[in-house]
Amino acid sequence: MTAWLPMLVPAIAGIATFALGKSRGRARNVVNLAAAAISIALVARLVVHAYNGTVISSTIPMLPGLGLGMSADLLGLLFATVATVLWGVTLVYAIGYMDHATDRARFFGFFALCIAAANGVALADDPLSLFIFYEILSLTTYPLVVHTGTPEALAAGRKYLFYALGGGAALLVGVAWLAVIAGQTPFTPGGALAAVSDRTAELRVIFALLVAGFGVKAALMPLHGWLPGAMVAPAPVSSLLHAVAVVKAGVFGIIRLVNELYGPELATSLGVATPLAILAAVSIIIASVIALRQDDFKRRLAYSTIAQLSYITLGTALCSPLAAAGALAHLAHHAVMKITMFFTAGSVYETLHVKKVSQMPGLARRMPLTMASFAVAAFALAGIPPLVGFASKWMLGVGSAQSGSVWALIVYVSSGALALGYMVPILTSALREGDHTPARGAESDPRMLWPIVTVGVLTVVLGLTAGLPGSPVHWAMTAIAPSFGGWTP
Amino acid sequence: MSTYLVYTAGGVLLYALGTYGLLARPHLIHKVISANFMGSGVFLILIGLGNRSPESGPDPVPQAMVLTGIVVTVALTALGLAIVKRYYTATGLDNLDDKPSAGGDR
Amino acid sequence: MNVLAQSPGLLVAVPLAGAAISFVAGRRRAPHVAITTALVVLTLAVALAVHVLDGGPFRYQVGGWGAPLGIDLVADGAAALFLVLTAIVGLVVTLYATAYFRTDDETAYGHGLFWTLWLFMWTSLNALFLTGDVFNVYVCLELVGISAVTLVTIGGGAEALRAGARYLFASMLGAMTYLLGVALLYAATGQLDMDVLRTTLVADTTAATGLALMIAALVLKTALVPAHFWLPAAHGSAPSPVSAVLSSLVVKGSYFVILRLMLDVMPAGYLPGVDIVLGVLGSAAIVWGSVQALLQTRIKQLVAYSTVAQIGYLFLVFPLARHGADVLTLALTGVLVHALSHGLAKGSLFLGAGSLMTRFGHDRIADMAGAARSAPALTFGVALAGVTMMGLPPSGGFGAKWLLVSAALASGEWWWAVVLVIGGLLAAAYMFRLLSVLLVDAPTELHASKGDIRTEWLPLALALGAVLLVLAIPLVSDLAAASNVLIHAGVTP
Repeated sequence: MTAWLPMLVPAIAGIATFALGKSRGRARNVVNLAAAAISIALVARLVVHAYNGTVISSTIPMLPGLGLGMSADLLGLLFATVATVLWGVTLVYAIGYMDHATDRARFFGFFALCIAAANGVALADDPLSLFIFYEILSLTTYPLVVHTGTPEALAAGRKYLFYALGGGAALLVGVAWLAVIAGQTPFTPGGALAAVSDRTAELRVIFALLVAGFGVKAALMPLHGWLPGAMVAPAPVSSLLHAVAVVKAGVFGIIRLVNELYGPELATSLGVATPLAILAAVSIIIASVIALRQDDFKRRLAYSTIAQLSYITLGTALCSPLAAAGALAHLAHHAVMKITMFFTAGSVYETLHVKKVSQMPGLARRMPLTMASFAVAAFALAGIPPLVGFASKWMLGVGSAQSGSVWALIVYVSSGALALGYMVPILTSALREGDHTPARGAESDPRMLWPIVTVGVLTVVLGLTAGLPGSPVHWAMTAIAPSFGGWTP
Repeated sequence: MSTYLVYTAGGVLLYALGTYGLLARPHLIHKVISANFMGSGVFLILIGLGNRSPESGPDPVPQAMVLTGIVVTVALTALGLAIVKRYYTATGLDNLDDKPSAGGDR
Repeated sequence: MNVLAQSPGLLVAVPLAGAAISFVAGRRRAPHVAITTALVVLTLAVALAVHVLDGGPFRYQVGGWGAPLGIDLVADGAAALFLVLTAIVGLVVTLYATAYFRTDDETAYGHGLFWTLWLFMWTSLNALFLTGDVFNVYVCLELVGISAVTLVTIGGGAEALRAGARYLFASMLGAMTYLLGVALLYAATGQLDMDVLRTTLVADTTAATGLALMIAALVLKTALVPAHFWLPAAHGSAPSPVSAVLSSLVVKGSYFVILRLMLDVMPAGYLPGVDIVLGVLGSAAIVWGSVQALLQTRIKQLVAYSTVAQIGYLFLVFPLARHGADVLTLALTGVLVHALSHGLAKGSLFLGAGSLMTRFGHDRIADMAGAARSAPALTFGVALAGVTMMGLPPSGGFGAKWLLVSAALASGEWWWAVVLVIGGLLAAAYMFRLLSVLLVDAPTELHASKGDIRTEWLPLALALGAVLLVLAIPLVSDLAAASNVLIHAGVTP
């Protein structure tokens, strides 16, 4: 039962939010914040158990011969921790951001349901359970993307659905096929398909179907088209869902698929890992180049997200222990960095209606704390030591060199340069004197400001503590090691 | 045996005629009558079946079926005529090919 | 446990008595009679299901006469599932109808007859699910047909009368053809009892022709493409509670007979190729119905065409049944789950559509913007019903799709899985077309006074049932295992 709670608590909070209705705003905030606090505590307890070697799991029967299972292992808990902690931070931000918005009950209700689904994805014990929560995540995100109800939002929602449901269909066939040939296959470090590993042709097709399914949310090119459009959603949605929960559910699926369903060995011997790595490498470069040319702030961040997600996919697909651990650590690190940036984007839009990079002159003086947090996150994203992005990028780079994929190392290094290329112009634009100069030091609503500063500080702290036990880096290495037969870093 | 065949052949013929009328004739009353033709054809076959083997006496089961079938057909016919009448009153139309000019009920 | 053993007879007798009492009770008391009847029937149906789960299928001789002249009722797991579905949807529709057919609305033509006709139809449906011989199927089908046609025309408008007339002629064609088939089958075999036919049927042209005619007639009644021409108008122009029962229950009645004839009565391959043809027509129905639904501009027409599509899924069991016991079990459980989830979801959608039309005063989808804000429960119900239509988790529709896709992949005939996936995506397309309008940000002048707690929440309740069905799939599997199809196939010992 304990393994279900990180999923159930936000789900109950979501339903309670709907039940409270439009008018009881204070009660709604209390319910959501309390649920976030409880969820964080629950996840923390599971993490302690998992670190001590106890994986709590539970399965209920659902379909003939197949159950719905949850398992609180270190790998899943890393994603669940990221999603739950950042949910708490984002809630504070969202309460400030949505202060004057309409339909807030609907917004916060679906927001909580999304986190429930993300935690379900994180802790799902087998492909079927993961698929179920993955699809719930698609559905519960839709109302948030179209939240404003404008024609633009509805068009973006249609596009999102088109991709999400198409990917879901591929995933359904893949997962069902797998169940037909292998039955229930709980995720196992190093691979769960040893019994059927001789059915190579079928396994290759299934791998492709599953990658097509996860690739949509992981925004793997050419399946990325929905993400820039989905930026019409309110800023908290872009921040938490399109930088953390939804997109990370996609890459997390790929991590489970490679490391714990097929296993690095089978994925390599089937020859399916290399094409995935090449696809990810191409995505990194193309998305980074496109990001250089975006004037719309959120769209630039979206393309940066596409590139960074493919970092994780590439690291996983290299099937080398250090790169795989780096990929998992980057899942957490990128979440912290990118949420800072999206918070900033939302904040400058909500306070000053700035949407474009070219409208930014004066911002650095007007909102110094906000822009300082953004600057830290931007440099971290480019991999400047000792900030948080450096540690995971170092692991990815060294890991790719160790696996003999020097080309991947080149991709990582050059995309780091490109990241500087698309981040620095934002900072220089904000530092220039301009329209927003006069009212200096007028920051946004404190409920939006302090979450930004919090995650900004986190990018520094996590970078400085990367070598300590319990940091995402250490955690990721511990979680990945069993997939590589007792590898010790 | 031959009596049975005559009944069956006649029944199939009536059924076929009725089917043609139900599908091809546009007039609503024609359709209702055609459906009755179909029914009568089937009843004829069933009546014939009752006397399939005269030496062992009549088979009561087909006769029970015919009786029940007639009751059902009468009900269907009555309902059909009622609907046709109401439709004619409401629209002035005696077929379903022309669209009624006044639409929009719930 | 004597009551449990009597429940097949009571499931027919109680609603029949309810129909008679509601007729003499007058229009003010008739709704109360109907609600009481619905509650009793639900209890009886659940009791029957429990009895079948405990002790397997059983026969019940009405009046103790026995076949061939007496009437035998057969209660197996599949019949129990359909009876329970009918009782759940029936109860919700009855409650909804008390708000829809307002007793103080004296102008509404024929509305007072709704209760009697509806309970009478319920009687006939229960009898159809329970009947054990092919001639009583004919009688039950006609009783269902007569009450259904009358219910379609109860509003009295020109469009409803036109749809009713078309429905009636389709019904007559089906009835007479079915009866011709029965006559031929009896001529060849001298038997009407399905169980006896199952054990005695031998290769014979007359018998095969009879069975083929019967199946063709039933296909027409089930509105499988291309015999669906009567359905959208009839289901679309009936009063909404009537549309709900027609779409979610009535088409399942004739389908259930096809299921029994194809998989239980006839030995495999008795009518060569018919199983494939039914599968292909089912696939065509999925695609054609969905595309038509996508093109509709009026809400109930959209929902009605969605029924045409969803009926198609039910026919995919026939080609899959040829591939051994495991695949048959998966596929049969799949279509039973589908019948349940579609029944609940479609009931919800038609009731929801009715409530939306009452609120807006029209049925044009394009002009229903803003419903999400003024009627959130209603919109949420439509959305949840949509989820199960698309076969997305977590919902009964997902369970059905999963089982059918698994059956298709396990059989090696993967193309049926492709059809299932395409059907799900098309369903998403037409459901989200509707939902995206409801979600549009538009301040609309709604008739808020017409909102009633029953018309708001009952559609949501049914949709929730369709979603939660995913948790009841183990139970449905057990009932499927207790069906005569799987017992006679040797799957269940």
